[in-house]
Amino acid sequence: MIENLSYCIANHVFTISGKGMASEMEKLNGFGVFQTDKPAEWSVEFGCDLPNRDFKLLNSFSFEDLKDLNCYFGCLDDTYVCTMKWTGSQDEIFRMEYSGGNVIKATTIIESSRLRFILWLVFNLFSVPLGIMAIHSSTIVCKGKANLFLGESGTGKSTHTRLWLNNIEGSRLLNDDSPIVAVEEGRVVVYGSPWSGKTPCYHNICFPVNAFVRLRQEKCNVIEQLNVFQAFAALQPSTPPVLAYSSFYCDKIMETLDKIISKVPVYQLGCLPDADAARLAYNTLYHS
Amino acid sequence: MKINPKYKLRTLAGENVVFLQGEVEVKTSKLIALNEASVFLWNSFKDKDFTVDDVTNLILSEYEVDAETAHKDAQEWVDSLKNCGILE
Repeated sequence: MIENLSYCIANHVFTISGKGMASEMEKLNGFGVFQTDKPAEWSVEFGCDLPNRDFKLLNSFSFEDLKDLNCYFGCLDDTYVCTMKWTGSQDEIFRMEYSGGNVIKATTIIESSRLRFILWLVFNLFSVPLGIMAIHSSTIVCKGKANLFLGESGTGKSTHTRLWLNNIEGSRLLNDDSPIVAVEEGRVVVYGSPWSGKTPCYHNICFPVNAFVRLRQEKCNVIEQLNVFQAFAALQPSTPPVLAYSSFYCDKIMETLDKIISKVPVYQLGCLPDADAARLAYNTLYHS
Repeated sequence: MKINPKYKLRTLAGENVVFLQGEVEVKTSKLIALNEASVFLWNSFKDKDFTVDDVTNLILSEYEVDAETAHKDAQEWVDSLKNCGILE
């Protein structure tokens, strides 16, 4: 039986269809609060039969929790292709193709973490051309505005935002890994998402962005506002890396970063994992 | 020589920049900032085959400088684009 489920993320509705997909989606934490009955703009169909065609590789990587599984992203004429293979094997265990428009076709995928990643990729493939994209960050909301803390994995994003929760009154976590940033009517806003890393923090809500803060481990706490070029260098690595080597998507990401950097301050915080780091950031970001 | 058409001059929060995205083998990317004169030269020579002499002549017609300075500036502009891997 073909089952359809629709989700509204960052104000855009996409539907997931395919045999058995409803029960697969139920196993995925975090998607429930985004479920909707609204009509979908975009759809992803699982269980399609996609012949194995060669494509030009743009990017490849393995998964942090499954190092033997390799993911390949590339293009074939105007079609974007994503495949997965086990190390040492030539057999594709998954293939997804997107030829523009509102439909992405994929073979069957039944493993929860990979399904979660694929849905993240699907969302970004549809949304990035509209100036809406995931920004890898841990995001704190305080006084009705959001602050996105960026940094390489292991820098201490989650540690720093936990220090806010414990030391800055009225702060709460919006998302701990991959919230969705959009520029709407000239305002930069951030939406909660079903992609929140190891922290189950799934909120279907939106806030204006107050600031972006790139974190760096230091021996003391020090914060500075970045100039345009530094701000770009701080933000660009946190945009969807899988899409970075496609000239079309790179172009769209640049357009969105132009708008973001024009409107919202970007800081660098060199910090210790202590309460003073959170207080210094709070006092700077809220000019108090 | 020619400016590689895959590189695009754009604005980033009011600054003129060219972003050189890395590739799957070489992931380092670069952001190059252009001043007003460099933007003028870029727009004049993009999509065209040109030589250092062409750049010198344009500088001479646009700016009040002597031939020697114009040639030196033209060579510097071309060299810096070359060093960034922008020319083909």
